[in-house]
Amino acid sequence: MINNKSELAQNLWNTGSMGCPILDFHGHMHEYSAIYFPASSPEGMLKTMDRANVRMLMYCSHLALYDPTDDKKYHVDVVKKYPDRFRAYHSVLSRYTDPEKAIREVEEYPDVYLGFKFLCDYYAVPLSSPVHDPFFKYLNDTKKICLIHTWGGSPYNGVDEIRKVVEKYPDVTYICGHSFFGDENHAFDVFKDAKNVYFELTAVPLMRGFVERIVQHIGSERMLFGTDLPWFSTFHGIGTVLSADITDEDRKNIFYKTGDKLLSRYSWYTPIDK
Amino acid sequence: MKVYDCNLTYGFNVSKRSHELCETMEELCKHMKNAGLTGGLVRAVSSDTVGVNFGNDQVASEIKNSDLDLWGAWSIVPSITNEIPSPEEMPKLMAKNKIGALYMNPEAHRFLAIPSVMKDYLTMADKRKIPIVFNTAWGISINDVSNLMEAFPTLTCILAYHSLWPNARTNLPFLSLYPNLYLDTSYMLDDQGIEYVIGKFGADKLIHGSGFPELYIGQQMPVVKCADISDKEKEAILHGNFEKLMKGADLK
Repeated sequence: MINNKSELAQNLWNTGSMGCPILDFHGHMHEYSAIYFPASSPEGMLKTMDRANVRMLMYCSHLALYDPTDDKKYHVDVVKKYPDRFRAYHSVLSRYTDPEKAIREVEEYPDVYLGFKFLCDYYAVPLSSPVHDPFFKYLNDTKKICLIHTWGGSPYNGVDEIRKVVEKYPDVTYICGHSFFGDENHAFDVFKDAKNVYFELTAVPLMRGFVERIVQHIGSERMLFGTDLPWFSTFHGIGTVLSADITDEDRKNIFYKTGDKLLSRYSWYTPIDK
Repeated sequence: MKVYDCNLTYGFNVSKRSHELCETMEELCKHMKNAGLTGGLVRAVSSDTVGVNFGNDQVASEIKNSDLDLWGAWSIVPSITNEIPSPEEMPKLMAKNKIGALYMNPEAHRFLAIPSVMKDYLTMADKRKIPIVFNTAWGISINDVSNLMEAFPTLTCILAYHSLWPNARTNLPFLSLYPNLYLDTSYMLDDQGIEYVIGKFGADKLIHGSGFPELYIGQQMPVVKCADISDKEKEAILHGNFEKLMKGADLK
């Protein structure tokens, strides 16, 4: 039954559905050199999303993160084909930045892009590098969202790098992908009162007790569900949240309520909890 | 539905933080019951920290006190030092103590896990269909596993390849090459990975595991329960294959 103390867990075990929608804030798409994916196309990913009741996936295609030629073609067609299911983060390839073009595309397709994705570890460029300033200035002015790959101890997107940017651009909404895995206690201290800094759960399932500690130190109102889909099974993430020693109210915040509030700033979004 | 877990550990480990551990058998059983588990294969981490005999004795004596259907896993080291029961003595002692499988932790016990060194135990296990657990989170490298399986290709074994990333390219060749190798689902993180493996190899090759207490005890249950496979296939993964393995060994 997964967890005898959770009604959501019992629902899932007994009926195959928790009866709770999910908003997934950390996804990808398409093939990737280091991994074999059974299902990395939009249609393949939708099969999992449908079964898991994932209303919407916010993603940045692997192609857009590794091929600097054209972000649009990897995102616009997919989101326009499935407008109720996908939204994209425009990639920021730190060594190939063209902020003017990127911002123009985000402005040109407001129904496609919800903001930017930063993957600094993979490009070996610190988040606080001046090359990122135009993007954060734009995000700060427009109140759009960014997803940042964060990892404990990283000189590129560890706690100290995120802190520098948060202090410089206080009005941006930061989604910290992987919740500073490995240096989370430091992150809890630094971002405890930073209301615009959200902790996202991809990779968190790989350390038992992590979910509980984020709830304890940051609160489920600042936690977002994420899977790296098509990397990790959505049901693996669900199983983690259902297994954690937290309340079903916390679980609902993580699965969709926190995200529902965040997305309500976009005109294209119809809130679940309207 | 019965659910077994082939990847459970308990015991004190002074080099880890307490929230990463499940320190006692009582605590383990409490977690198992809350998750609705019927039983499982359990090892005592003290085999790796205190000593191989201490841990093996501990798990054998403590699973007897549980009302769950628990099977112990015993750690083995090279027979040359005569520390543990010999390959000839081992089956009878396993039967007496409800020990369902053997495993190696060459990292903790500091030995070479190579075919020539472990030949006597592995030949015995191979003949008797005694499962060997190869769990890379328990101190054996995937290269060691590969070399051992090349030397003993019909060995009955459970493979758990611990990785932060989806790992089909590493796991699937093992399933393809070795007829009696089962894959523990603990680290099968890939989206639609279960469906893919079943489509290629059938449901008889997967065994539900959690990796508890490092990982959450219930986190892989939805992966199986909600997979796009038949109920019969789910039952095979959640309990049928485990029961078949535990009862299939010749321990006479």
